[in-house]
Amino acid sequence: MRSALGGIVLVLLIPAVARAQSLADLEAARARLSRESDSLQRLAKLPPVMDTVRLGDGWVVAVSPAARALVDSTTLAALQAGNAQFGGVLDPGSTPVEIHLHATPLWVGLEVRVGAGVASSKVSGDLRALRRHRGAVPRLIDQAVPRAALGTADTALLNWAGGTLALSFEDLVDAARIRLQRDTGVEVQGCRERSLEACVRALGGGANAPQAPEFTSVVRRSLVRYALERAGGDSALPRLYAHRDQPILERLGALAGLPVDTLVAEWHQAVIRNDELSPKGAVLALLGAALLLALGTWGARWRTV
Amino acid sequence: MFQVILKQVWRDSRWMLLFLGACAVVITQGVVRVTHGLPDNDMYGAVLVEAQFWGLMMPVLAFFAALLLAIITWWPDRRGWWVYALTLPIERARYALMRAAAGGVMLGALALLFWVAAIVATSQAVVPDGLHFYAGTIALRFALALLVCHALWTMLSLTGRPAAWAVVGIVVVSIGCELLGIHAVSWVVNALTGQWSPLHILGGRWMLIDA
Repeated sequence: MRSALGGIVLVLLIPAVARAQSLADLEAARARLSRESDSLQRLAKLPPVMDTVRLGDGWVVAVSPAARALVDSTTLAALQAGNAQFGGVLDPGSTPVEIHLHATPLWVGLEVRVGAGVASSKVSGDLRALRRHRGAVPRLIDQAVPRAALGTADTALLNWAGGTLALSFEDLVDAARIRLQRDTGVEVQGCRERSLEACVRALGGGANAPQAPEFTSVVRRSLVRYALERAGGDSALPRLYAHRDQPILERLGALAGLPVDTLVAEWHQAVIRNDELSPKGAVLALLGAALLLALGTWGARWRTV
Repeated sequence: MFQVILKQVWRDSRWMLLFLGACAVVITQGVVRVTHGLPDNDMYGAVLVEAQFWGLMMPVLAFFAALLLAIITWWPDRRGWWVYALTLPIERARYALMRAAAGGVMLGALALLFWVAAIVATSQAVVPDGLHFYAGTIALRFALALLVCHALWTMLSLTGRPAAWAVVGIVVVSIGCELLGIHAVSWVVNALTGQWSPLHILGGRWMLIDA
């Protein structure tokens, strides 16, 4: 009887906890949107080029505050991959815009203006509807931005990165990981041996860049992507463009909001780290096993039968 | 008494243990199968890809090894409706711990076998500069994964029907919550696999060879 009651209590606890978690998620989304609304106001005062990076032949609407406010990392990756499968009706001149997705009109309270090359967005819709249909929003922004009006290409960054960033982060890390092992050169070897100074030299583009980068473009692009997505955060691209005259690595440091050494160290850790067993993981495993064994050993069957 | 239980579990599980040990050997040999011969710079990618592919099977082996050993360990008691266990003149919790420990010894032997297999495999392998072997780390991780899974299956075996109802209840309620717009499934999945979960040890990349 007591075991049955325990089971019932456990089952009843689930929706309560899930509901609390759901409310916490909503609150976190509200706070994030509030922060990003502030970013949008700042964005509106910036030159047009701030919203987009051009690399290679592709435009990448990557981490604009507007996009960051509305999408999760998966959707962001789809956006960066230039996924324009949005098949609905879009009229940038109408305000607010009604999105048609799969023949179902969805009201998300999104206003899109296409002005001087910058897509500005105002979020005023129901949070839950916005979250549910957020996949449509970046595609809307992507289509609403006239790509030809987004400013001049960043030639220095383009030359250094040597290609488009239109890959998902994980793909790029794996590709960089393999390339990093296959690239040759003295500095590359040093970087493989976990010397950060050698990594900086192998990347090229530093303050005293005496030589061409030893790393191939895939590895270099993975650093850009790391700085953008993992370390960048709010207003990352404006920071990148605010330092156009500086060496590339300094600019990437500004993009990430980190000193160059720290950025390279974190990127190095992300790209070539070995997923070793951490002490915390080992302790958690031991504690978890002990807890499970205790639950089983002193569980209902052994106390009441 | 522990020796008696241990002997019985050994007798019931030895062939299964042999099979699981063979799986461990196959997996560790699979990791290094492209590394024989002279090191070549072009091998970097192939070695890492191979290590990552075969590494996926290590947590799977740990999970199912613990499941099979738990079934073997607790089957005699479950088959007899726990009558024998409950008539023994010792505390029930102590008996349960002894039987769980007997299953744990078997899994410890499997972990040891995995470690030896990893050492043997890496001793034959030649990898390019910059790559290293992590036989000890991966074996320790495998042992901990076995321990966690063993504890999980032991708990489910001992608590029996209430645990089964709780699992079913969680699934049903989670689906119900999803239908009501509350995202409970992702919460449950995150709770089970998040960094604070003991099952987190099963995730990530299991690389016997890495930079």
